[in-house]
Amino acid sequence: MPGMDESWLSDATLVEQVKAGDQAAYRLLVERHYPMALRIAGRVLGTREEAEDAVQETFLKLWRASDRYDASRGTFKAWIGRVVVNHCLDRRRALKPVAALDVVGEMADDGPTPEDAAMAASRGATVAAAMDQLPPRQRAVLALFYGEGHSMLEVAEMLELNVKAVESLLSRGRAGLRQALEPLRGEMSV
Amino acid sequence: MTDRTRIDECLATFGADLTRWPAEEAAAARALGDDTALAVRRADEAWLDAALSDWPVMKADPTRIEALLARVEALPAVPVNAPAASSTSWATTFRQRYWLTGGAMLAVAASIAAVLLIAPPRQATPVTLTDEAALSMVFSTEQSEGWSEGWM
Repeated sequence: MPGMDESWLSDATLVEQVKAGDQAAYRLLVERHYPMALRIAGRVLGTREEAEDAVQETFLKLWRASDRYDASRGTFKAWIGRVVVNHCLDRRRALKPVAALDVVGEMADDGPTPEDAAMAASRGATVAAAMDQLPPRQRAVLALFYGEGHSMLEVAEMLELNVKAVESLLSRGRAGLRQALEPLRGEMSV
Repeated sequence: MTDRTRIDECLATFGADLTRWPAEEAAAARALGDDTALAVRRADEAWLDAALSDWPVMKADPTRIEALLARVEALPAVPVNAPAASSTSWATTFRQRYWLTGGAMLAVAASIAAVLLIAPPRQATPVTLTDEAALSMVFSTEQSEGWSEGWM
C-alpha cells in the first residue's frame, strides 16, 4: 500500500506484496538487500561493472518472477543470495580470467589517515589478486562465510549444498589463499 | 570425541576464531586450555583471518539503485510474473506435456491399427519356378566350375 510505512514488514510479507505488483514493497526489498548482493557479487566477480550488472539482473528477476520465491523453503535473504551467486557463477563462466581489482580504489577512503588508507588499499589489492586465482565457487563460499559472516548451515542453504561440501570448499579456498599469500607474508605486514 | 586431527582441520577451514567453528569442535579446542601447539597454529591462522578481512568490498552506489527502481517503475505493473505467469510450476508443465505426449502417441497407435485392420491383406503372388530357374538360384555357373575343380 503506497504511502504507508512498510519498513517494519518482514521480507516474506514484502515479497507477497511484490507479487501483487507493489512497487513500494519492491523498493524496500531492494534497499534492504542490494548492498549485500553487491558485496557478494563484487567479491565473486572482481569488477564493479560485472558485479552491478549481476545484481541488477538479480533484482529485475525478483520483480519479474517473484513467485519463484517460496517462503516455506527458506528466508528471502538466503534466496536472493542464491540467485545472485548463481548469476555471478554464470557470468564468471563466460568471462576470461582477469586480474580485475577496480574495487581496490574504493578502499582508499577507509583508513583514518592517508598512509593507513594506502596501506589498506595495498593489502586489499594483494588479497584481491590472490582471490582472483581461486575458482569462483570457492570465492563465493569464502565471501559468504568470512565476508558476510554466514554460518556453514546458512551457506549450505544459500548454495543448495550439503554442509560437508561447504566445509570442503572453505578448506580448499583457504588453502589456496594461503598458498598464494604465503610468499608475500612479510610484505603484507598485516 | 574430537581428536587433534579434527581440530587441525577446523583451524585450516574456519580459522582461528573459535566462535565460527562447529560447537562440538570449538568446545574440544577450548578444553585443551594452554596448549602450546594449538596456540602456535591459531596464531598462524589468525594471520590468514586478518588477510581475509582485508578482502576489498564494494559499496552500493545509490544512483545505481535508483536507476534500477526507475527501470522497474517503467515496466508494466500488471504482467508481474507474466512469463511464468501463471503460477504454473514445472510439475504442472510436466504433467501437461506428459498428457499431450501420451495423447499424441495414442493417436499414432490408433492410426496404425486402423490402417492394418482396414487395408486388405496383401496376397502373395504365386511364382511358378522351373527346375532350371531354381538350380540357377542356388548354383551359379562359376561356383559350380570352381567346385568341380576343387573336388575333382
